[in-house]
Amino acid sequence: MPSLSELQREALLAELGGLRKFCLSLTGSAADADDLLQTTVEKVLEKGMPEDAHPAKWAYRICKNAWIDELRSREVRHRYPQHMGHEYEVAPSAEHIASGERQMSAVSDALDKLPEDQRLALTLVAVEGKTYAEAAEILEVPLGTIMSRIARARQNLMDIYAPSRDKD
Amino acid sequence: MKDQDYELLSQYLDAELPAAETSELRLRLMAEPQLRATYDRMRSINDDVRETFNAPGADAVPQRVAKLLQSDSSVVNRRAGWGFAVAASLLAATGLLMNPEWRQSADKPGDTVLNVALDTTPSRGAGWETLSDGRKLRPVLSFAHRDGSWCREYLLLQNSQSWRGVACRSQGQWTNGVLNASQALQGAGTEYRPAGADDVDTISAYIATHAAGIALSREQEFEQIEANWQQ
Repeated sequence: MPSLSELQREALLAELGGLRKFCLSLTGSAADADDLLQTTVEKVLEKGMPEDAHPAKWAYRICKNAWIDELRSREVRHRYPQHMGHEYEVAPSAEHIASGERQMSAVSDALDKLPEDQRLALTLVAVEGKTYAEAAEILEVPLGTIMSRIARARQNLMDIYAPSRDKD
Repeated sequence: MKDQDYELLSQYLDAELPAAETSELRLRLMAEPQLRATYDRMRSINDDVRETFNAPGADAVPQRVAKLLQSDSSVVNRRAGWGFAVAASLLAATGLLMNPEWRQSADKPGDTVLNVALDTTPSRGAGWETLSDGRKLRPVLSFAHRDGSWCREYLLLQNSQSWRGVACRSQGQWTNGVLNASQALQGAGTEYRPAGADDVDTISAYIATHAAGIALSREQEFEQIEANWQQ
């Protein structure tokens, strides 16, 4: 049976928060993000990890593949922005929730319209703060491909994204 | 605007543009209002995307997921990082010499205390459940055996002795499938190290050989406890 070393396990634990954000940006739903995160962790535990693999990059790659599998299994994608604060440690105000939900809805709707490869690349860099090199490694594509995907994603978003909140 | 300009702006936004090209682009941004406006719009959208998915709670990991990766909570080899072993041996080799009275009764219906505790005590990553006879128990995970029964890995302390075992439930009784004698670290009541951690890990080997899947989640284990391990 595949196994994880203690160091790999600790590295993954430290990465779970970032992975959760990645899942949220892919699914646009707190509940779906939790499910995707759990699927990712279960797959990592089930398949194990090579000793020389970078735990975080490995986990992001598994997560990406799990998400693509999920998309393939859905005939129609439904992403209804949901209340993402059900496990907040500090409960935000109702106004803040409403504002956050509106923005999440607008952003998620726009991201939904992007090709999945563009969305994945943009999310890793813009949300997760990965470098282009890291994103290329996670998505298993050349660096130049990452650059062009992110640029095209932003170019597309400029056409389709309409902010729904009032900015300060 | 050309696609190449979008790529330049995008790389500039991500601080991925080489220094020489960055200088050139900055000059262009000052000289070309349309390019500047496009960059400002691109940056604003990027800020919205980043802020949306970095909002409070976005990185909140459900306990059930974290539990999967916590030490001793899943069916994996978790000894690799433990760099030292303490003097101990497998029960098969020395257990009879240690002669723990509880062990003799654990495999038969007589050890009601341990049986009940394994039936009802949730797994935990630290701390101990003190049994009515003074022994301390820490179930660490539960899993389904390939034969359909339920099994639990656990730690048990009695005086200065400690053991790590895997017991499986059959006909209402928990019977040890494997049991290692170990030693609690001196002066640290919550610490524990297995016997021969770097040499023979019979606990992990047993689980790897007999488990039908990964360990139960906290919720799944709770359901089994509630159902008295009958589901």
